[in-house]
Amino acid sequence: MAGIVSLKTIIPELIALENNNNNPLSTLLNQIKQDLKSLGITLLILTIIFIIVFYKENIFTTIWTVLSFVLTFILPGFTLCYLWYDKLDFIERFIIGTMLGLITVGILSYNLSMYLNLNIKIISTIAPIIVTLIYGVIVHYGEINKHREKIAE
Amino acid sequence: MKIKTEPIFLILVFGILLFLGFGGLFSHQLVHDFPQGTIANDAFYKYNRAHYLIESGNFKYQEWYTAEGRKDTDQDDAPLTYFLTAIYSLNSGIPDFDTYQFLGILVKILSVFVMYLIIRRLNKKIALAAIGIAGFIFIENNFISFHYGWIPITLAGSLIVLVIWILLNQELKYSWIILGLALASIILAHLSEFWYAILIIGLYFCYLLLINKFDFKILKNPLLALIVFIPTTLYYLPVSLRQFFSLASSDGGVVLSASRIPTFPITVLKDFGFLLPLIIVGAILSVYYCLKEKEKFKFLVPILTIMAVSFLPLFNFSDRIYQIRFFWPVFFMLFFGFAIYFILNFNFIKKYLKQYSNEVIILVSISLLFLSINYYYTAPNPSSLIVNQDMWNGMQWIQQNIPENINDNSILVVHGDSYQQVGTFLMFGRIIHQIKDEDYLAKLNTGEVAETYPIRKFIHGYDYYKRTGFFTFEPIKLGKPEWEETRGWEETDLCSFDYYVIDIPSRFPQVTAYNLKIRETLLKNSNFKEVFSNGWYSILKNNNPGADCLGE
Repeated sequence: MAGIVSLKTIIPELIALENNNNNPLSTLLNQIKQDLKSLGITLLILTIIFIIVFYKENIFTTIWTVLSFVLTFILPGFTLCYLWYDKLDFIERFIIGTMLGLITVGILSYNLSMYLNLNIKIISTIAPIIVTLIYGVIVHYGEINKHREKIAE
Repeated sequence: MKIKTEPIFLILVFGILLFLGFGGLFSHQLVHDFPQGTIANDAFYKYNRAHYLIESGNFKYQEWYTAEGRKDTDQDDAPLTYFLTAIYSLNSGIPDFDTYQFLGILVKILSVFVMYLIIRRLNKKIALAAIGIAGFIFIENNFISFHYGWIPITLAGSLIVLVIWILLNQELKYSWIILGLALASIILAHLSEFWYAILIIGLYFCYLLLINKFDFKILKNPLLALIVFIPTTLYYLPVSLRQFFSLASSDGGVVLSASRIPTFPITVLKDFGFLLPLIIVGAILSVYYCLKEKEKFKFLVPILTIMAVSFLPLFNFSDRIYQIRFFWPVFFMLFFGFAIYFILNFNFIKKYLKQYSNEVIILVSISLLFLSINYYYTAPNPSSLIVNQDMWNGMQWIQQNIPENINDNSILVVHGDSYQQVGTFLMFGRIIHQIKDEDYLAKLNTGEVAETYPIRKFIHGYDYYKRTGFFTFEPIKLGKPEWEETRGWEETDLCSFDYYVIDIPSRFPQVTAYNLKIRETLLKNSNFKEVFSNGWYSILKNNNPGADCLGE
């Protein structure tokens, strides 16, 4: 939240839109709040399924396996899918988001490795964070554009 | 409160597929001591690419131990799978060989759900019914790709399904971004699937142009997708283009194959057993329905295209194209769903089931899923394949105890059952020399340990490249010129190596006996010392390579 508050203070467009008494981010934030519950339940169930399927494995290893998959791939892709939160339901955003997360983290990692010569150990940590941030920014501006178009209409 | 049946159903299906995919292969464990269920060359050298990426930190060069010790030959394999494996292995702590298989199985399961979403846009009931066939992604030969280590192909196949979803969701704002990313990911995963995707996109937009009276605005999205595609693949594009053109101009020909007999187990229609009639009926019905409603035919164009591709080897194209058939269960989902939906819509059934139609379809779907598993699923066997614990321990010992210095530490691997799959040599992480099978067996029959054997250095191909500029490559020929002819076999003194890796067990008692004889003969010499042994390997160190080792 602190990040969003500070963004509001530095982005003039947002201030202008907020002055219009129609904050473009409010619907998005509401959607995120709603999704947190669905996401939490889904991940809990998925973890339980993994624990059942891998019942011979140490339970903490299984939990970390699921959690690291979420943080590495699902979260970045799911973030981008907020571009279409009014068009796609949670199931669609979750499944497509996972695929998009996989491919984007993979593509970025490859390019970081080839162009910047970064070690894969560093890339494995920073690539999911970079993708999530970039997609967050894309969604943010996408939302502002959407709002502008609505006003123009 | 009305219970949402769809998410519960999907989670249940996910659980079933996860169980099918991992239950047998992973023995219900995530972390293993050595690679599971791998039986072919590709399985070893492909997972090893990810391992080498973690070990070396980058993906620029080929593994030095497959390239005669050179550390400057360009890595030209499609990188995406290896990067995903390395990243997830590092983040999750699961060994790279387990992660490699794990991701393959997971993306194949994901492709089922992406196809579900595609069909759901056409009709939700058909989508629910379509899931009934999903178990087949791990049934019969469709599982082969995991034994053979064809995870890049599995990833690329799943991404084709994603491309189809994107094509059918073009009305989404900025969908060109994800179309560009999806195409980039396919070319970075496996080249041939990229061409299939291009074919699908091409035909899809041709169809759209036809039904929209050549309104070229339709082409905006695929053109915009290039804005994402080109920069994200720029580094790899020259490599793939070089590969494409060199393969296309090679004598063997990459496209046309002389033989129609597949060189690996493929999926055929009869594998679908009692579900096959439903698939055929569904295919006919879906074409009929979609032809009636022209707007709906766009759902069929990509699926019919990829189906047509999967039959190309029948017309003398390369049998490698058959690999896309491992995704038949996913592409057949639409047809299968149509058939079940049609049956449940017979008047006499519909009358009774109207109120609970979704729930009934789910029940039918789950029943068919279980029936197909019951009749056709055989759990894959994780053991009894090529690698075992003792073998793995021996290989790890070599990596940890024999320095990389290639000139001072030559390793001879004496004949063993596993080395029919030469990719196994990569797991030693060192340059390996091998004895020619035929000559080994001939000498085995005489019972004598010979002074010389035809031995070669294991090199994974002779032709490599060094990248000298962004678009320029310098060819590198490994080995000696005559090796093209001799395949590297040279009559070599048995005593000239620093280390000897001797397999003890074998399916053939004669091999065990002969290997033990070689071991005992060498150990009689004071220069030789056994430095490692377990149930599988005896590793000997020669302190005076080149000196006579067979005489007293």
